[in-house]
Amino acid sequence: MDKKVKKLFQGKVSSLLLLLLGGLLFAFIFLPIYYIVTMSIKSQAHVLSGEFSLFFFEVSFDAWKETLTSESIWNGMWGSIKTASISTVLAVAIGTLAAYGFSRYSFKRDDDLLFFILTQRMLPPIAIFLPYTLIWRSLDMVGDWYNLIVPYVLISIPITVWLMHAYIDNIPIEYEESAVVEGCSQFEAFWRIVLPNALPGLIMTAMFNFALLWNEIFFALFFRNRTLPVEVSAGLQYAEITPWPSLSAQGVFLMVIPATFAFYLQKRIRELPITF
Amino acid sequence: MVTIIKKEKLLKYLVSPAVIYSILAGVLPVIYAFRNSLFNINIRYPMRTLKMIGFDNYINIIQTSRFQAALKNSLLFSVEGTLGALILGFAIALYLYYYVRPYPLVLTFLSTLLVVPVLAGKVTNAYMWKLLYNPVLGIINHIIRGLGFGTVEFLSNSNLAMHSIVFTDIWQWSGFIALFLYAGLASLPEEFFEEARVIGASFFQTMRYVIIPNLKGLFLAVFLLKFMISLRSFGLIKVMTGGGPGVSTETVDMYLTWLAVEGRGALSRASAGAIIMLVITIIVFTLIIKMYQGQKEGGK
Amino acid sequence: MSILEAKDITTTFEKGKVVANDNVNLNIEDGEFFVLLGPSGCGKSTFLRSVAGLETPDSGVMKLKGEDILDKEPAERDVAMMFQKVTLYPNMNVYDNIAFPLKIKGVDKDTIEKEVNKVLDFTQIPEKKHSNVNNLSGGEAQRAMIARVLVQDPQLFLLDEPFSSLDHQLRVHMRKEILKIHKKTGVTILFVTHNQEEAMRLGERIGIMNNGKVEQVGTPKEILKEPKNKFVAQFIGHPQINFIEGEMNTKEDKMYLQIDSKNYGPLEKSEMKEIPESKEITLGIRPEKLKIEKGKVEGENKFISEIDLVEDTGTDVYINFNFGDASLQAEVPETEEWEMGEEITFSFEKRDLILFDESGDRIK
Repeated sequence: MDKKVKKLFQGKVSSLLLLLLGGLLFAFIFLPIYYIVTMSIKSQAHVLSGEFSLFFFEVSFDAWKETLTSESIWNGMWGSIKTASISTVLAVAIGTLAAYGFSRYSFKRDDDLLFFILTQRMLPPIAIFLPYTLIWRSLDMVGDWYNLIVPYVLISIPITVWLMHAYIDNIPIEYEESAVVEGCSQFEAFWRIVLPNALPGLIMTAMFNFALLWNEIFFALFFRNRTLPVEVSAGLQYAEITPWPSLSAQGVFLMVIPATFAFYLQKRIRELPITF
Repeated sequence: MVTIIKKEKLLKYLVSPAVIYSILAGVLPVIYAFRNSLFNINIRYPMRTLKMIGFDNYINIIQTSRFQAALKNSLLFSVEGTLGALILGFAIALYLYYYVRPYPLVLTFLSTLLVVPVLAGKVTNAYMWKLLYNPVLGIINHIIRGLGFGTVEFLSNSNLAMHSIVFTDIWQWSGFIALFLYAGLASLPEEFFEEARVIGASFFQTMRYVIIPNLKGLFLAVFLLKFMISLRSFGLIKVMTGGGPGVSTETVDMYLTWLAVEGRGALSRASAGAIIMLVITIIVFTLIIKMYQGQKEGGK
Repeated sequence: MSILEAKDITTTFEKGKVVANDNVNLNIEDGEFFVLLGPSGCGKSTFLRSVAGLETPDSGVMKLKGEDILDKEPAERDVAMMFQKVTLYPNMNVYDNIAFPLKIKGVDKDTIEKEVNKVLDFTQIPEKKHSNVNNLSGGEAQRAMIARVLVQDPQLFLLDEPFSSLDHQLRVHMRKEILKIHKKTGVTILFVTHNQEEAMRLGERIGIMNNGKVEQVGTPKEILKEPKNKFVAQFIGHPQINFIEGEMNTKEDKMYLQIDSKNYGPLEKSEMKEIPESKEITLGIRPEKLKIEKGKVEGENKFISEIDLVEDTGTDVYINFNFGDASLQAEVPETEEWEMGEEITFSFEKRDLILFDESGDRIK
């Protein structure tokens, strides 16, 4: 009996500890987000007064009013939506085709080609941004919103290939084989069988790419494009006293759309088919 | 690999868009940049006669102390950030796998939260942490003062600043990495863990002999991925400290952009610096992969 | 004393909805090779895992060499387990893999060396000592797994369908290996499988399980000759036993079995150990015990039918035919020709009959 009690007690203590750890983890991630959200609904006066409070403060929507009525913010939003979506669609299309090729066929030097594609992600943006700028200048295309799409697709292809490669590998080739035997062309087999099965992977890859491009700031800044991150970061430059509520509102605004992917993404990542 | 239909032609259609695009959009600009680096182009004086000065730019920039400092910062940021995120991520993944897995709702809730920092992006995160580190408004200093210590200047202290930024980066990525590593843990056959239980291996022994060796490939992939992402620290640091105080938090990409555009407009020299970074990155990448492959085949 | 005593072990899952083990009672004797046999989902693996400590029964008593073990962690029980999956650690060589359990327990280096080498010789893979685990063949890997279990010197050696994923040749080979090892070491083995041939070949005693309950425990011969019920009878024995439904009629002191309006008998009351209560009887007769004669032969206790299907495996020939509602199979000598549609007469000896009432059997 004694032993049983001892075990029970150990169980209670250790589960308490674990609960605590869980709570810590939650706080670790949640608090910063909570703080910026609450900051966005505080008033500048409150901030200036130097008071610090986590829960009890006067709620003020000034910062949000300012943000949501700002033309530059909405322009930036629109710019981001355009560039991120178009780039994502293109990159996922090109990347998935390539991933299918790598997955289903083995050919001379396929490892090297795969490596080559993956290294595109490694290009220091500074190395290619300069040539791009020069090209745009000579073509008189500086500042046009579609400039961004070119490098964006380039850096999105590697991740797409990497992820989709794993997903397609996990679709048994027998499905396509039986389809081909039944009369489908190779392309039809790909379109009707592989893609639908790879849909979760496709969505996940698209979301992931979209989020990364949405937050991309280097190219956008130096190509003088007006995307949302550019507009939001610009807020930092002008004030003497940092307008924290205002900046916070912009920051939260920036993260709203990608944050909606969180629920779907976390499930997909946790269930990734990892082989050894 | 099985070929359904032996049509080599079809294969070319599949992979070539990606390859061609990469060559056009990636390789060509790099070659162009390389070509630029051999001259003395300056943005401010576009009309100046171009002189081919060979590798002078390279020698020049390597000897620049500011470049060296920036290189140190870049390496610090990348290595510290990647290792930190990997270790913390692994700890979180273990916690999730061992204790949260029986409660699917909690698992979903925590996982959703863990992904948000990456989705929030560098600008938002930079604002967030700038706020948190703030001497007056920040929670952290508030707690520190509450414990009786003096205010810590996280971002204004040149010794501390870089590490503070690294911590932000770790915060951003460890949750995300944790989920990838969780996927790896979940894909390990249950029998491995059961066997370890029957034999009597402790938690740490199980980790050392069962989990880590089997997930080596995953760890490597995650490490490389994060490392590559770290090299583009521009956005985060620019917003958080602008490179300061002074240039103590300036990384290579920040320095090079300043060099090319703002400072002296020395485009060629900046291109040289960029090419150097590219070469270093490729070498490190290849070395690590070769090392891993060698280990996989050779065994002990 | 029995090495393992399990009394009234009941294990349920999903809050009682699934009953995996239903009052299981089993004893395993010292040095025995005991096989737990049953179809998928019968609860045999659950029981094995309960012995190991990977599952916890809801109620019951389990003792290993007289000591209660249900409270103990798997590591504290003196058992070693081998799984269906290969669980060798990929980063270590063979030596380190086998030494691993000892290392965990804190055994000193010299003793480890001695024990590991001993066990390597035993399983005949000493030359592979320093090989990386990835370079082993299927058979070598199996032997390494066995070595790792042996080196732990357990009271009870638990095997959970270890050979089920191997190809046939390797599987047959491994069966011989494990028998050899059992003979040499005398270790007590609890072996779980769903393959009845494997059970019959390996087991000194077999426990058959179905739906969480133990149907019968006995030697292979006992189970074959005296199955407790229909389930056991048709699970064991290859090819499967034949069942014919019939009725028991009593006429004076003798009993007759009526099958398809023909009578079989007489059966002396004295020949029966039990008198059946019900009139409905199932006759069980094994394919190899059916006597087949070509053509129509008249006589007492002889029945006529027509060949439906002939199966020739190269070594044996089986014919399938119908009688009433029953579909029967018989083994016939391959020296003769058998054709579909041919008329045959079949009969059987009284002593080869196994009779069943609605559930159990009666001994004749």
